Amino acid sequence: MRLTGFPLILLCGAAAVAALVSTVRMWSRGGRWRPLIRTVACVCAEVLVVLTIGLVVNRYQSFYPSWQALTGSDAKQPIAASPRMAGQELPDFGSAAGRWHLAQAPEVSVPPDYTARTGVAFPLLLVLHTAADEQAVRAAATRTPDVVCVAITPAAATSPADVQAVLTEVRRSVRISDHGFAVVTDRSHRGLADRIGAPVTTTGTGWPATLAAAAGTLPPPLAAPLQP
Amino acid sequence: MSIDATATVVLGAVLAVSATLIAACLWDRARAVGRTLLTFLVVLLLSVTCALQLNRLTVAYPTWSALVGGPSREVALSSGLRTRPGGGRLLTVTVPGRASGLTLTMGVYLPAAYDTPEGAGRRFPVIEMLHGYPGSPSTWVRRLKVVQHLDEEIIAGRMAPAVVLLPYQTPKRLLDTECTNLADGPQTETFLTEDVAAYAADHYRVRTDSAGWGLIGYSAGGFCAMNLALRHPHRYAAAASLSGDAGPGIAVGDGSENTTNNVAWRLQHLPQPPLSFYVAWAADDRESRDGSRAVVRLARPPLRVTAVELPSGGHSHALWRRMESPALDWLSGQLARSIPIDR
Repeated sequence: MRLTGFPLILLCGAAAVAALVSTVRMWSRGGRWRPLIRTVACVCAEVLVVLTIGLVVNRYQSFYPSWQALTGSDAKQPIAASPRMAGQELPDFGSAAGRWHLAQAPEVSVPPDYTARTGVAFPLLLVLHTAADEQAVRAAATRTPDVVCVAITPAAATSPADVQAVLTEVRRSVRISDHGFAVVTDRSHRGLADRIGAPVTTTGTGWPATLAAAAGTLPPPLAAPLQP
Repeated sequence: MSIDATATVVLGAVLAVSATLIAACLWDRARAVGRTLLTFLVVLLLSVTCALQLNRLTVAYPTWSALVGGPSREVALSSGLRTRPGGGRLLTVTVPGRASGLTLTMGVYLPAAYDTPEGAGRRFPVIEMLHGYPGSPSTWVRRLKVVQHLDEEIIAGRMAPAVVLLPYQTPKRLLDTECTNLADGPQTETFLTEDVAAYAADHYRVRTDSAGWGLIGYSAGGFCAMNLALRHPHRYAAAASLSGDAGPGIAVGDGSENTTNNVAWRLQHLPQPPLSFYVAWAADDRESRDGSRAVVRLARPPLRVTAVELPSGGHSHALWRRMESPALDWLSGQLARSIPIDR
């Protein structure tokens, strides 16, 4: 019998009415046991009336739609999603620049404690720069905490799809979180950055400060979340 | 004996049975007035016992003194709460609402990292937790064990250290505001979005930009979280609704429950802001199921929705206890990290 079904409500209601009628009929009977009989009958009627009201309210509010919900026996504990164990070794894109129409091969920088933090996924910072800024970007990226930096030197033919392809490749082998993605670019690549589909920061006061500011807008690295 | 202890309810039941026994014994000797008084006593004690049990479930009145006082000066939310090693601490403060005119008690959870030397130089992200109706911040603390959940998630690294605010959403315990500014009534929306934010910025090292602020709520609080985020996207980045509905289910007084204070209406008729929603519900909870499904169906980019439907669980604390840690993990993943204090 369902907890929110009419049959249970009717049964309880009928039992409550029967208990009330019985209480009235037995009120003057029972001899020396009369107080006890009255008490038991009254308490039964009280409990059944309260129960019936509770069942009716529960039916319409769906507080506990099933016996399992009432007893809590269906309340499984959340479980942790499988941690991302891959990504201990960083990809070497070496001579892959031409694959994505880039001027130079992409460079991936991870935090110093990346390897030690097994199972933790990091937010992604994509940096678009010119070849002249390569050293400055690399130095700034290694100093930016708790992000994976992917530095790209676009060429004239580089499209947003190329950039997304690079990121897809990086995601295959580096622990990058699903949330948290920002693009930092110099002014010359602003147009490309705007078409990638992420919050964009344009460098103005130098790469270290800009990368640090952009990282500050991202979530921190986190372990795999619980699943309900 | 606390007002929401099991022993209190049991005592009430024992007194009700005792009164019934006394009435049964004295009935034949009593006259009409006496019988009326005896009957009244039994019904009163029975009603009180039922009310105590309902309050035990909702914690609308967390203390005996709350029966006579409003939610402006409440005893410590942390009373009876054990602090775990490596865990955060729970404070109880009073927020003077300069913009709203409301002065209400608020719980503040400070993560362990907040008190470390490193944390002393940082501003933390903020999560506002909204309770259901009837309810109070104590419902989060006592029924949903939120401090325990926060500590566990932060220690496990699934959630970043965050300052968590647990405000009241009503100045009268049995007045359902649904976090709105009621016409000719309490300006709860203003309190939650302006006064609470101003208080937090003045008293704690918190981020003040929208990227670092999120909302979470269960039941009516779930609606509140979505509605406030949609109405104030400049203040919040994300909202998590646990069994929240798409509408407030009350009359705001200006008809806005069908328009600008209705999540479904806003999603249908207004541009959707760049927010992230986590919408969770149980399939056997008709009302929040239909409302939550409508929100998921109507959401369009740049609004992003993560939907979670559990097959069963109803509209109960057991369900929300199961949902809250995954929702907190998700919310933390949407909010910007703590930053150095000088930035």
